[in-house]
Amino acid sequence: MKRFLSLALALLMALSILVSCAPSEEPLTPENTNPQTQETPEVTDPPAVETDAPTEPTDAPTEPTEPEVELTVFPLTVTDQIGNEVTIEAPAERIVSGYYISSSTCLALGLQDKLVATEEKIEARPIYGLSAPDLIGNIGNVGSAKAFDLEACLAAEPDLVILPSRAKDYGETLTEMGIPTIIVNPESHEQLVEMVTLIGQLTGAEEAANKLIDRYDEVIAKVNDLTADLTEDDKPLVYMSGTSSYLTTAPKDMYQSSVITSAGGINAAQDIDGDYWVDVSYEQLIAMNPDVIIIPTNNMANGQPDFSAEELMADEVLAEVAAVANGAVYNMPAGYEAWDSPVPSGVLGMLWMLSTLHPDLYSLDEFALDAQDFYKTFYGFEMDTATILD
Amino acid sequence: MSLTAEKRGLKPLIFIGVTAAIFVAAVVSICVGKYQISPAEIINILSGKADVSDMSRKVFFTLRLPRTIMAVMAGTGLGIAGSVYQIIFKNPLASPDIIGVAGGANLGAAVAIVTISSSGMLGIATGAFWGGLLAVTCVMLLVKATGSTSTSTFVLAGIIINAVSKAVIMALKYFADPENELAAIEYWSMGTFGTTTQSKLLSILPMFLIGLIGILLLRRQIELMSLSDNESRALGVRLRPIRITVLLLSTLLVSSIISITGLISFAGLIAPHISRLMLKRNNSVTMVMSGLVGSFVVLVADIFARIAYSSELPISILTTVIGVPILVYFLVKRGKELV
Amino acid sequence: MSELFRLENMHVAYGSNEVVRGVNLSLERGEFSALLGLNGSGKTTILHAACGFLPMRGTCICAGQNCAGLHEKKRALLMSFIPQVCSLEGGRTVFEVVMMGFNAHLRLLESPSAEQKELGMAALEKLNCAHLAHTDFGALSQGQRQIVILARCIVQDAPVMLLDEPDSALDFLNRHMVLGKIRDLIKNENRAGLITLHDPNFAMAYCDRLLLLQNGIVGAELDMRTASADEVKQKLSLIYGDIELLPYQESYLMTKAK
Repeated sequence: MKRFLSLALALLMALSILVSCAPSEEPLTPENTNPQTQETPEVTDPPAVETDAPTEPTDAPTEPTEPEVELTVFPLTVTDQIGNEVTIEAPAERIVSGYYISSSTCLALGLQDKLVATEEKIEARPIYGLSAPDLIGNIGNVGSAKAFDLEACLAAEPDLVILPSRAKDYGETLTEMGIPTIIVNPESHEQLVEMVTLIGQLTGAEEAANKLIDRYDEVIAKVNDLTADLTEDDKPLVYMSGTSSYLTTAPKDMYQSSVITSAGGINAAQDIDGDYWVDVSYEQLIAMNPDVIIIPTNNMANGQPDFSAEELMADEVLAEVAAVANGAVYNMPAGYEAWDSPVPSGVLGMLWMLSTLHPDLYSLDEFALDAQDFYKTFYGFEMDTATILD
Repeated sequence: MSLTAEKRGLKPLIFIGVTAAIFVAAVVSICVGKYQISPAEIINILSGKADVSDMSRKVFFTLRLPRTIMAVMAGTGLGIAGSVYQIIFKNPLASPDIIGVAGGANLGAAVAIVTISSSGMLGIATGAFWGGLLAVTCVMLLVKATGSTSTSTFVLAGIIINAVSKAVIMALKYFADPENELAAIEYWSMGTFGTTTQSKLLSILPMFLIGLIGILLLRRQIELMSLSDNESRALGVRLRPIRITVLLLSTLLVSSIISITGLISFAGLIAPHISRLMLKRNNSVTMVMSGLVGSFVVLVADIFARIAYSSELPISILTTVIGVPILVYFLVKRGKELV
Repeated sequence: MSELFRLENMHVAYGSNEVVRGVNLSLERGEFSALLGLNGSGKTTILHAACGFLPMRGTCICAGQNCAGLHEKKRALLMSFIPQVCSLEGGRTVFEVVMMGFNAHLRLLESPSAEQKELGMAALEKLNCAHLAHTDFGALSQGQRQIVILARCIVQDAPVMLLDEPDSALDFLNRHMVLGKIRDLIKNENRAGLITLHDPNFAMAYCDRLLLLQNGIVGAELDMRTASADEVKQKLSLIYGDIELLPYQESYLMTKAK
């Protein structure tokens, strides 16, 4: 018995020594190369400054809301959206994106050939089927952010990995193993733009990135123009419903709220604090008395939430609410992306909202055309406008 | 008259068999994973040959091997801790949760997830570890406050602390953001080896070994504690200090494991039973066997967690799915023997 | 010194209910004494308190040492305790159970030595059950179990033995067997034994002295070696009421008077 025990203990010790003697990774040190040209690429703060759409970045005295980088000089060092410095030797050729927003961004920047693995369940997200159907079933699956599959990621032999902030621990491990990994956190339009810029730089797709950002700026400028003359009275009270229950709404600090505001509306929940969906009671909803109720798509964007607009309108308790009485309850169009969130085609959410709230300023037909153009330009597919116009 | 190992229930053949099974499972475990490393490559890596890709070597030493070792450690620790709890509390349904370790660790992890806005694994692991220790400390203090040292007092205190932990966790879940934090809390409570890396393993190794070796050294006292309180006292066992020491050591053991892996359910409960049914004995040898059985169950569970589905499954599902048939087999076998 | 054990003015209370109200007794080396009394008279309480399981007021002196403040291990070197039923279920061999008796003699992390293992076997042999050494304890009958516990007691080697109705769960024949072995053990190894018994007949048959417990104190003492039949009858009837005493060999048999 004693001998067995000591043998077992010795074995355990030996194993742990073996593990600790393994080659330890040197933490990646960002290389500081001699800068040849110091240029700060321009990122504007929407909805403010207008830019002409250059393909070269111009010098402008803007506050750097994005990392200082050395342009088109590789090896390239950037700072990701949680402050880590990441260096990449050459433009990325094998990208692993563990987040649906960054994956969609890669598609929008024309990087689908370089995507070697993405987050799970892409067959359920319409944007893949529309824009890059070849990828479905043919590229690696690295799971979800909470259950990221490190080995699957490594098996895809990436030279760049993009992860959301909740997976940052995995990012640390990848960095330890020498894989350039950036953590992105697109929670607002500004951060989305920052992310697009980052990805563009790291993959040599800066032209595409700038083109996309310019489009954003154009859209924002257009919307600002159209809504410039609206008075407060002109702006309808808009209630953005949740997707699992209409007794949930987006309070004032959420991205959804800013979309409403930009589109010339007022968030019915503007007095509620918070940066995440809040539950409300029937009473609160009736007291808000919104003029318009918007029901966004689910996160997969492939379908409607757990209830339909008809069901909401059939709810007797809400019969007195202005939006219900006037039939102003609208579903966001499904089948593309979740336009209520900071996805690459999120500006379409702003446009759609504008056409819904102020059809006299901007009609649904115009929106359909703009959306079609957007998807054609950046995602390479022909949108069937009938899906929107019905 | 000399006594062979056989008489002590050592049954060398069974031990060799189980150890061999663990070895085979470990080999399979280091070969399984989304990143393909062939057995030939593994041999090359281990023998230090150069013609293996750098990445393969890195994956092996940073992810694959630590994960396998962690599975063995976790199963051993949980099996032995479970055995200790079942002996001390004289309750075949005792598991590492009986005095609140798992509940406290869960609470510590949940607090870390919810309060530290961008807490990484380090924060969660620290929270879980101290949460487990804190819960057990509270139990000890409660017991001390009652003045009694009977095991039922420990169990009752454990019920109280577990209830408190659960309530606070419920509150945290309610206020947690459903998309990130709530999911993280739930996922942590299901357990995984997917986040095990070499550095994490080494960081908990000292405490794990302290707990494990401490318990093994005190095995004779633990055996004695299976007697009633009065009888063990009459034989000279200093119940109060020894019981507290043993409980703290097993808490250290369990906490160090689940701070990294999250909650692994069922393993600590069934490994002692399987061990007893295999050896038909209930002494310190059975305790060691319980550790071996535990490591086998967890190893196999982790293998299946990686291959059963396209993405990795939480370990607690698998430990139950694998542990139950083994237990059923032995129960039926024993039932037939008793007839 | 032949006095091995003494209780002075022992008081034990359960909450506000004082059960033992000033018990005085002493045990001599080589003597087998019985504590008799009706249910609830406090027999078990006295034993448990003497062993340190319950708090007590008063003095307990064992082998010359004051027991107050002794921790379990030191106590176990002075006195051993045999319960009614061993709390152990199956899963250990008889030999393992016997070896438990060495705990007080071993350091915390120490395991029994080869000599101690031999002593363990010798204890079993002494009680004629060496053949059971590798049987599972749970497979034994009650009578056999008590013998094994006795062997454990031998191994524990404490000068004072405190036995709490060790015969209660045994059948008639086993009772006699076990009590006989206990008496032999005390006599041969020159220990002192205090046993609580329900049945005074067994006490009279095997014990040297009877201590009669009533109202929380030792109301009377009987030295069976020297007491007359009248004295025996008179003192026993203090507790048991109307009895008949029949002489039998060198002892007596007691029965209820009709």
